[in-house]
Amino acid sequence: MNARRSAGASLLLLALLLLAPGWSRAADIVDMTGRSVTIPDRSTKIFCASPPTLYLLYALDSTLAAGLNFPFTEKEKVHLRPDFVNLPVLGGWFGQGRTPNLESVMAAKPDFILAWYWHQTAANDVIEKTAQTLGVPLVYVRLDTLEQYVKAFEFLGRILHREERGKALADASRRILADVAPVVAAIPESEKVSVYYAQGPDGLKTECDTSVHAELINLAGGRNIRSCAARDSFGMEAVSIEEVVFGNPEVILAKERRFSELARTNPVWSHVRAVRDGKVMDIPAYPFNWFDRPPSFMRILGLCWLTNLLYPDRFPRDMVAQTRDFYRLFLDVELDENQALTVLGR
Amino acid sequence: MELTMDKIVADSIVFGYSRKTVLQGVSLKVGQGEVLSLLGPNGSGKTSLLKILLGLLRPLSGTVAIDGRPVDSMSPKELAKSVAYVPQLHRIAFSYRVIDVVLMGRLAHSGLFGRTTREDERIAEAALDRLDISHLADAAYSEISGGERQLTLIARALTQGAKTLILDEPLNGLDYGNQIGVLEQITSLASEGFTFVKTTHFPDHALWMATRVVLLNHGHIIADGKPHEVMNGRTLSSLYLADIALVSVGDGLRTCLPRTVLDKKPVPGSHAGRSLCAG
Amino acid sequence: MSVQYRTAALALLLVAGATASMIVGRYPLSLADLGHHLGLWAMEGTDPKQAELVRTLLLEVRLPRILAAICVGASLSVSGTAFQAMFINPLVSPGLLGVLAGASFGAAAGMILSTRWLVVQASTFAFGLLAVCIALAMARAYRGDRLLLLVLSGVVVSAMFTALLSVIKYLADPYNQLPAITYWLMGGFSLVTRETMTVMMPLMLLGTGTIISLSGYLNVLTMGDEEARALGVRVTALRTALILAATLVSSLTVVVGGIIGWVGLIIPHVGRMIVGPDNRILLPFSALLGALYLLLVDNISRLVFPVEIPLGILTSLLGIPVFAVALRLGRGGWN
Repeated sequence: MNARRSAGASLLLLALLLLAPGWSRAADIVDMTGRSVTIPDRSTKIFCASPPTLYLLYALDSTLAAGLNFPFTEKEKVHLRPDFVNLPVLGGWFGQGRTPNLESVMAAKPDFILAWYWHQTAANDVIEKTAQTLGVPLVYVRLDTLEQYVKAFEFLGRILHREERGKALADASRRILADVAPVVAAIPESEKVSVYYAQGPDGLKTECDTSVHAELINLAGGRNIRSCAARDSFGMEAVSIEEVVFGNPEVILAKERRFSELARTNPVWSHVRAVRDGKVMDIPAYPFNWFDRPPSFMRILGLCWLTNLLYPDRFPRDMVAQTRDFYRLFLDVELDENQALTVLGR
Repeated sequence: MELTMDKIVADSIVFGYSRKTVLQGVSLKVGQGEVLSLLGPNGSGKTSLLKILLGLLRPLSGTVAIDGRPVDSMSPKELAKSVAYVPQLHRIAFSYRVIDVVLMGRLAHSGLFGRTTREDERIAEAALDRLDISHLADAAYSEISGGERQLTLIARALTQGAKTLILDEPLNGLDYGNQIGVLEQITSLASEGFTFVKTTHFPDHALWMATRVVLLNHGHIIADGKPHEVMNGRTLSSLYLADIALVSVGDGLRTCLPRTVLDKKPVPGSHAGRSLCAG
Repeated sequence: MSVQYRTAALALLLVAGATASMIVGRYPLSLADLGHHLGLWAMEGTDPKQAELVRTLLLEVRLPRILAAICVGASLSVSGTAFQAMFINPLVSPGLLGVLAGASFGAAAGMILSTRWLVVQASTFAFGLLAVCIALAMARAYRGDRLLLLVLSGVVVSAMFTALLSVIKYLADPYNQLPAITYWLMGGFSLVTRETMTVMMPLMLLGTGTIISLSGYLNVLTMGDEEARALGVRVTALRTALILAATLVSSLTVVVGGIIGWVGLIIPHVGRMIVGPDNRILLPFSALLGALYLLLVDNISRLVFPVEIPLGILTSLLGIPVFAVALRLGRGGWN
C-alpha cells in the first residue's frame, strides 16, 4: 500500500513537472495592425526593433527592455536610468546598419519583438522572417500620427499589464494634443510663421513640407519653406544656401549644434531673417529627440514646444514647467529649473 | 682606321640572378668606328650584356667605361650623351608623331623640366633628313612600316649626340627590303665615325656589314675578332647547335647555309651548282 | 599650330563659363546686379541691405564654389593624365594608388572623432597621403616589375582603407554622423567657403603646375622604364615626384569636395581625342577641359533639379555616356 501511494505521488509529481511549462499562460492579443498574436501572459523581456518602440517601452516600464538598438551618448545617459543604459546593445532594424546579431537576440531570450509597422514592406519582411526564425512572436504598433501614440500607450499598457501607467501616459498626451489643436486650427494661412528645418553640419539638408519627418512643423501651425514632394522615406533633401536665403524663413530649427553655431558666425547665413532675429533654435534632444530622427513620443512635447515657440501669444506656455512635468511623468526624471533650461537649449 | 680611345671598355663582367649566372667574366673592348655584331643563341646573355654596357643593369662585379669614364660615375643624362640605345621594335601605347619620338632624344640636353627648344627641333629634323625619312616627320609612329620605325629610333639616337649606338636586334620583324635599307644606313653612319654594337640572330647580317664579331655562349665569350677569323662552319654550328656551313660566293664574300640545304640533291633543271666549296 | 588655338579657345571658354556661373543660381540675380557689383555701372536707388546680400552671395557663395569646381576639375584631370601616361594604361585614375580611399577614410574618421571642420580637413589630407606612402613602401619592398607592383599595392591599400571606412560607418551614430558621412562622400561643393579656397587654391594650383611643368618627361615615360633611362631620364625620381604631386593634389580635392569620380579617368581621353597624345600639350589642355567640365556639372547640380544632386553621382552618370562616345569617335590617341 505504501509503495503504491508513493508511486502514485511520484507519478503525480512527474505529471505536474511535465505540465509545468504550460502553467505560464499564453495570452492571445490583437496588435495595432489587427493581427492576432500569442504572447506570454507575463512578458518580462521585450526586444524592440527600433528606437521609437524602444523609447515607448522605456516610458511604460524600462525594466522590460531586452536590450538597446545602439549605445547612448554621454549627454543622453544623464537623463536615463543606469540599469537601462547598461543593457546589452543588440542592434535593430531602422535602415542605418547595426542590424541585430541573431544569436545575441536569442541569448537575451525576448518574450516578443515589438516593431513599428512601417510603410516599407521590405523592412517588415525582414523583421517577420527574423521573428519566425527565432520562434519569437512579433507585435506591431502603429506610430504614424501623434494620435496613434496615445493609442499605443494604452495598447502596450494593456498587453503588459501596466494599464494604469499606460492610461496615465495616454491621458497626458491626449491633453497636450487637445490643447494645441484648436490653437493651430485658428491660425489664418497668412499669419503662419515660415520655418526652415536645418539638418546636417552645414544645415543644408532639409525635409519637404509633405514629409513625415518635418510633420511637427505643420502640426504646430508653421509653414515649411521647402515645398515639395518627398523623393523617398529617408528624406534629407539637399538644398543650396541660395534657396534658404531666398526663402527667408522667420525661424530655423537646427538639428545639430554645429550648424546653429555656424549660422551665427557665417557671413552668408547672417542674411537670413531667422539668423538676424536670433531665431535659430536648437531642437532639444536629450535624452530623446523632440522632433525627429529618431521619432518618438517625445514629439508630443516637441509639438507643445514648437507651437509655443512659433506663436507665443496664441499659445502661451511655461515651457520650463511643462518640460519638468513631462520628464517627471514619462521619463521618471526630476529636472530642476536649470536643467530644464539646459534641455530646452536656453 | 685610326683607333683613338676605345669607346667601350668592359672588364670581367659577372652578372646573374639568384639562381642563375648569366655572364661569367666577360671582357670586351670596342674601338671607334667599329661595327660589332654580337652573336649568340637565346639565353647566352646577349641582351644582359647590352644593358650592362648601357648602364641599365648593374653587374655583380666588373666595370664598364664609356669614353674612358666609368658608367656608374655618370648621370643618366651624361650617359645618354655618350651612348645611345636603339631597342627592339615594340608597340608603343600612344600614337606620337615621328618628330616627337625623335625629339625624345634631346632630353639628354634639356634642363630641369625637360623642355625642348627650337634648336632641338632643328637637330631632330636634321637627323630625320640624314636617314632620308624627313617626309615622315608628321606621320604617326605607329602607322609607318617597321623599317621606317627602326630608322626613326636611330634618328632619335643621333639626336642624343652620342657617337656610340647600341642596337638590340635592329632587323627583327623587318621585311627583307627594309632590312637592307637599315643596314645601308648603319654602314653609312659607320663610315662617318659612329660606333655600333648590335645583336642579331642572323649570322648573315654579321657577314654583310660587321667589322668585328663576338660569339657569346653560356655567358662566356667564345670568340672575338674579325668575321673571317671568327665565323666558320665549326664555330657557328657549336654556337647554334645546328649543322651550318659557310659558303664562299666569290670575292672573299661568304654566306651561311644549313648543311641540309647545301647537301640537297640538285633539282633537275635548277642551276644550283656543286662548284661551291664548303668553308 | 592648330592645337595651340584649341587650347587658347578652351581657356577663353572657361573664363566665359566662370563668369556665366557667377550669374546663375537659385537666388535670382540679374546681369545688372552683377555689373553693379563689379563696379561696371551704378544702379540708382539700390537698397544697401540688398546690395550687401548680393555681394555676400557673389563673394561668399558663388565665387568659392566656382573656384572650387575649376581647381578640383583641373587637378583631377591633370593627375589622371599623368597617371595614365606613367602607368601606360588607359584605365587608371588618380585613385589608383589609394589616395581617394585613404582620404575618404580620413574624412569619415574626422567626422566621428571631432566636430571641428579643420580636424576633418586635416584628417582627410593626412590619410590620403598616408595611403599612397604605404603603397609606395609596399611596392619598394618587393622585386619585380615596378609598375605592376605599384598597381597591386594601390589595390591592396585602397581595399584596406575602404574596409576601414566601412567600420567607421558602422560605428557612426546612425541618425547624425552616418548621413553626414554618406553625403560628404558623394561629393559636392556646398561646404566650400572663401577661407577654404584662399588656402586650397594656391596649393592646388601649385601641385597642378608642378605636374604640368614635368610634362616634357611624360612622353618618354610611356616608352618604358629602360628606354626612358637610356634617354637620360631619372625614372624613379621622376615617377616619385609625379606621384607625390598628384597625390597631394588629389587629397586636396577630397578635402574641398569629397569624392568626385570619373573626371580623372575620362577627361584625359577626351583631351587626347581633341589635341592628341603629346603630353606637353595634353596636360594643360586636360587641366582646362577638366575645369570647364566640372564647372558645368556643378552648375547642373545646383540649378537643374530641385534637389542638389551630389556631384559624384552626376559625374558618374554624365561621364559614362561621354566615355562611350569618346571610345566610339576615335581611338583617342591610343593604339
